[in-house]
Amino acid sequence: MSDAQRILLLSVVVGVVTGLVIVCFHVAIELLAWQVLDAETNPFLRVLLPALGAAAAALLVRYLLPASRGSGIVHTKSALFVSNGYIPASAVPGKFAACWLSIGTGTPLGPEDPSLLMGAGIASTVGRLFELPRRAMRLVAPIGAAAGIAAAFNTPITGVLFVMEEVVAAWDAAVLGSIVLASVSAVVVTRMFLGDAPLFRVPELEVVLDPAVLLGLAALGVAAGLFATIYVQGVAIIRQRTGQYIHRWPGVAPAAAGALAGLAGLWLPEVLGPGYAAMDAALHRQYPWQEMAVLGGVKLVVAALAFGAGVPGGLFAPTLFLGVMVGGTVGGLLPEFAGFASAPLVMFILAGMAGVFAGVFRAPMTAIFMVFEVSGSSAIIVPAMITATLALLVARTFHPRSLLDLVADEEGAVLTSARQQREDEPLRIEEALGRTTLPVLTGHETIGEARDRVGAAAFGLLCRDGRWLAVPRESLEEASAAERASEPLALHEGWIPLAVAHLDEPLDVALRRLAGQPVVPVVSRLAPATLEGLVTVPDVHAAYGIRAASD
Amino acid sequence: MAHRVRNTFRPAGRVLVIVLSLAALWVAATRLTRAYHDGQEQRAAAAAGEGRAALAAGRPAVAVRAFREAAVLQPEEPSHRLALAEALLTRQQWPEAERYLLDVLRVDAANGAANLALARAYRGQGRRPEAEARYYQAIHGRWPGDAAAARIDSRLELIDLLAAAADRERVRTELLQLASAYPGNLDVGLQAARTLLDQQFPGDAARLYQELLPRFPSEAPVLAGLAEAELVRHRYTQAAAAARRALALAPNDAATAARLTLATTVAGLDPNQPRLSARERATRTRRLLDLVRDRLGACQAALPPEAAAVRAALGEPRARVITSETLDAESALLESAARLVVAHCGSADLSQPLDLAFRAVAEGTTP
Repeated sequence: MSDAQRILLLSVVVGVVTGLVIVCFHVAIELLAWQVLDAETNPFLRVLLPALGAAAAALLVRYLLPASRGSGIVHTKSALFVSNGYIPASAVPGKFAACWLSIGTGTPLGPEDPSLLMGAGIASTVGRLFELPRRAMRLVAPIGAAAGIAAAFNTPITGVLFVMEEVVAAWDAAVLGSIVLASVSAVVVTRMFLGDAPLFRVPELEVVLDPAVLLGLAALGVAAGLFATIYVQGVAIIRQRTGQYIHRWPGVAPAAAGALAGLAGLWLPEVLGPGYAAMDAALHRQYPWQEMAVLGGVKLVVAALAFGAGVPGGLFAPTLFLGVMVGGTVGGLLPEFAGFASAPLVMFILAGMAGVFAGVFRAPMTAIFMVFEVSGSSAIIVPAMITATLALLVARTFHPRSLLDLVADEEGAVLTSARQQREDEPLRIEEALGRTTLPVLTGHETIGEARDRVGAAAFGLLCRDGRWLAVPRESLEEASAAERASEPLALHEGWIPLAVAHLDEPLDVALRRLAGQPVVPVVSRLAPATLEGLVTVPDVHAAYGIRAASD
Repeated sequence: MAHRVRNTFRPAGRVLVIVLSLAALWVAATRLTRAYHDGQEQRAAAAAGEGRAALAAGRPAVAVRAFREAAVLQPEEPSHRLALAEALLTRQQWPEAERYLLDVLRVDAANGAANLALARAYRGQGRRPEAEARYYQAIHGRWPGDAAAARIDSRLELIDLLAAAADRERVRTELLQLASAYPGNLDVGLQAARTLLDQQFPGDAARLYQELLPRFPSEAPVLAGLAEAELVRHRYTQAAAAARRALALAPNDAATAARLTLATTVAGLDPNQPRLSARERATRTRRLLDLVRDRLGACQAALPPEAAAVRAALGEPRARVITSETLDAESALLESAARLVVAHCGSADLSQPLDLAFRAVAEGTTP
């Protein structure tokens, strides 16, 4: 079995195992939450239990299972870019136990980022067990991460897109198939046990795109971008300020954050836990816009405090919660104050979800497809595109770094992302073209005529039967000296074959070919006999700016 | 480094590790999900029970909260969402109820109860066309248990909606359809006939009562309703006959007794009743001429100028000899005068025999 086949097969195994673990994780959280709910007979306990859960979870990852500390995405990216796919197996039970404790007792964070890490940890363990080669090992963690996130959201496309956009940070065809297989396997397993309902049930979607509503969506995009900026900045500030105390008095900051969440929960129980029930209720118009604004504001504070204080848990669910509330607030405000007859509220809520998600995680494709998957309606794609794009632009303007970048910094890792990769894209051959010229022979000349055309150049180029050949001046001169100058060039067989390249290929392709030949002919893909230009080693240096630097 | 430790498993051992891990996880997931689903079911059932009890006790806010919990616990169970929506309707939270109902209908489009509740939600929001469409879907939808009763209720609500919108013709059509769909259902027949009468379709109402009579000959309400319908149609003899039969079955029915008295009195005044001798007809006509002259005299201020000729004719002496010509002339004069009374003298009290008699003459009702 080839490595590629082994990886595909293992992707299914990783998907199934991850799906089963995520089912257990989800159910365990729910069962604990029920126990906590039943025990919460008095307000004191309702404040105490989230505080105890958060503190216990934080202490667990600090002292007993340190491998599960930190963000799942950062772990996975570190595995991909730093540690050759290595994620300790203990990260899986550690993350499971810590987040079960914290989220189950009411910490206002979500289970998706931990699920991502558990998937990546499972994949890494399976990869080591089957002794995958080094390159395959590096890619195996994102495969598991996709399975984890897909199983957590019950949305396979979202899992694939998020990992490709944020973790792998490139559209790598070699890994895409494995990621899809793992995601689908995980979702199939999850649905076998938990049913095929998504996280929340989106009511029948009414999409209106008249000019007034489009303006409203634009306003929502801007609002979502601003809200995302406040959120990211808030988390950054809290983490910065509490960092030293977290290390000095471990457990105290998480306990305080949990207690504050519990206090907020006395007033607004919707903000506790991941908050999917509240999102479902908002989608069904349970709350007026004023209440949604309050819920969004309070959730922002308690989630930022919990995450900032180092309570184990993820930010996906709180971000979706905020998106729902921002969308609902704007969708409810517009008819009241901006003269709109009525705004299609569900559309605004979903578009708000996409907007805040894109603003916080800087992953607009994932945001758009996530709302498409949870709503089950392609009609939401256009509104989501509008808000996600605007929110991303606004958020990038006010805060150039995403939440994940900040978390990575905090955890001491310098990791790439799709955004950075786009800025440092590899050079293409077309960017090194146009500095070198050589005479091109037709093949109908005699050797003497060819020698004259080549003149002082080291060699001429000849295309014969679609293959490009180098015709060295020295060879032409030798043939002429041997009184073969009148012989047709076409009859001669001793010319040097040249490997060609195309304009759109990475410059790396030309550089590799230049190791064995003095020049690379760049030809048209449609007509291989048509020469677009030439690339030599100095051309490559110039394209990379090496000569300019030395100057 | 830990990750460089050599793998000590042979290939078969690796597969075994995976298989055992999968088996263990599968067992754990099965047990946990079973406990979870059982817990969900129990909690949802308890919450739904609490919601129903609260609704019955007239505490819709508590019911809504309980049904919400049930719906969150078992999102795949449409009955909880339906119950929640119905509780929301009692609190007039139309848009939220609408969303939950659309959820239910998305997976079960023929759900009669959900369609009926959605019709109510639309009605509450003043969205009449959508409400009508949903009422029809409820009428033709799927109902567990007593489907006929539910369909009848749905159609009656639709009729109520149409009546509130003053769409009388469609009310009539729906009522006739309802009655013809359930010919053996006395309650439906009575209700349809009653509503037809209320909507001023006494002819249809009387026909419906008559259709019910062969099936339910000993049902006093049918005969009482028929008496009322015939009275409204100024068919006093038929009204009196039906009232008499109704009273024979239900002697204590005071309303029917009053109608009998009224019908008998009017029948005694009306010169157009069938099988009257010429003398009797002339006597009744002249008696009514005297009465109508007095009534016009009492309200002469309200009369138009062209009434003067009629009043003058009423003041002229009657012919001594009654012939068919004089009788026809007096009848024509009485009809004109009665029309003036009905139009200008506030003759609206249909419980008064004389007013009814004037109206019968004015409308030229031929029994």
